Amino acid sequence: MDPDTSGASTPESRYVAFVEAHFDAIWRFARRRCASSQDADDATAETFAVAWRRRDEVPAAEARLWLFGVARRVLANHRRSSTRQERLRARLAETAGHDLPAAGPDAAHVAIWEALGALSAEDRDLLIMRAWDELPVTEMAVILGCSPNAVSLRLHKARRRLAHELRQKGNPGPGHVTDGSLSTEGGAP
Amino acid sequence: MTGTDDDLTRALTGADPARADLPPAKGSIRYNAILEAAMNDEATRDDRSSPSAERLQDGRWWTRRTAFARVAAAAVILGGGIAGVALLTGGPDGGPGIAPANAAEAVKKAAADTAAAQSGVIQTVLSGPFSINDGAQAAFGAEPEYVDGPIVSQTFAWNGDDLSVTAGAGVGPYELRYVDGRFYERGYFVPDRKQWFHYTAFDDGSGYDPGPEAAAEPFVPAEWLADYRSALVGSGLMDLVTSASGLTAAANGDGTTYSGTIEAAELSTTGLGLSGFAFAGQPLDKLRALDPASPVAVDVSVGADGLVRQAKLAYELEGADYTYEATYSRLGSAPAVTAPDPAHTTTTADRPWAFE
Repeated sequence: MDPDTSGASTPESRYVAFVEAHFDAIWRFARRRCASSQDADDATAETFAVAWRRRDEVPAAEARLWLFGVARRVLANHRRSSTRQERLRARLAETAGHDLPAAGPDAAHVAIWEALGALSAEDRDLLIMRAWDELPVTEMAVILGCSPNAVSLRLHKARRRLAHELRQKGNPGPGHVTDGSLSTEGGAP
Repeated sequence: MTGTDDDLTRALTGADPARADLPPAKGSIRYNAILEAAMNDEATRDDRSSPSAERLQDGRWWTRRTAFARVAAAAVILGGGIAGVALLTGGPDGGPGIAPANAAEAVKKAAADTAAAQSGVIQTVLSGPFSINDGAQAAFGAEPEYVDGPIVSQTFAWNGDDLSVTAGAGVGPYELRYVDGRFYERGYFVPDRKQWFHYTAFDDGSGYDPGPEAAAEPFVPAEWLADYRSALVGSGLMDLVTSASGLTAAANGDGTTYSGTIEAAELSTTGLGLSGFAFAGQPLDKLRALDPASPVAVDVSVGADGLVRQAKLAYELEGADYTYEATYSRLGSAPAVTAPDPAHTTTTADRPWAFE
């Protein structure tokens, strides 16, 4: 676990300081992969619960990346719960005649979401790590447990597939797609 | 970073949900709730979320949801819980070496003896395929990916007239206790894990419009729990045992397993306590609708003491296998169901209607 930056000496106070130092990063990481802020709250709590239980094993030098790794696994589990919740919501709506609100992306970014949604989970994860989490390839490699070269190659392929999906949907995306790569032309989706 | 990277980043950045949805501020109620949930997370399960543990791939472990109760989850509890009870109560009985002709009577006797137990614990698990699609895939109808595992699990314990229900997989943190005629619950409307509520009155549901063919009925804990208990420890199991056909008996360890079949249409979810809201009953409801004559395999294991150990249903629906298992334990020797710690209990009459 990170060194005590608050001067506190108890495990609890060190942990509180540790959570404070990483909270925003982990919550944002979770939010980008959840349907709602409530789900992100859940995933964040679960991630830090793991950190609390394994506080003696958290690598001080790479605590943030370690937490990202935990969060990825927690989120994989939450997806199952979310799916069950959605199925239940549909059932409740059908049974009770209620029109329950559905979670969905911002309408202004439907094209990019549709394109992301058409990709494999692996491709999407790579792109989100790079574009939203702003992780360098070297840190992505640590989280994913592979070499930086492998990440670069997979990221390149993921970009090509994203471009393809955007083109398929009639939206050239960030750049006109020519030979499978993204050019520097064009505007935002 | 290349120009292509820059383009990609710009295209994606605008869609980043975390740009418009900010994390809770330090010291806020949400922040503190998350911190408390993390620090108070009972380490009662294996930690299988750490990077060093690679046991996720079997898809059979579940996180405990921190606390943010949802009405849907409550509906599952109030309906699905009953569903589990109902299914588990169905099964045959008999003894080692018993003639098939007598298997039906033997399993009925086991069901009756089990129903007479004054205390016990039952764990129910509905297993089958469920989607592991993430939000983006699900939102746009991508081809779903499925894994097999527990969909819903719950634990019921009773002692005399008192009862407790603890939700497990698929439902989230929820617990109720009915002790000395008092109704307690936590994790339903309030996410605080420690906070219990003792409700002294209940909304009558008059503000709820259930549709033209249904009527909102007031939630009366004593009546509901009476039905609940009935399905849990007696009638549901007996109904299933009575309806099963072709029962055979086979020695199994220190007891006997009775096996038979029942047509899907004969599995009355109402009779078993499966309400229309019962998440656990949905696959069975669908099976009954699609193919009423579809066979459901019934296995009831009875111990040497003549009491039911487990009732199991297995069926196929749209090419997938589902099982529902109810495992009985501590029959006649379960501990008393106790009221929650008063220090963490708030008494109030203001309980929202269950399905509102």
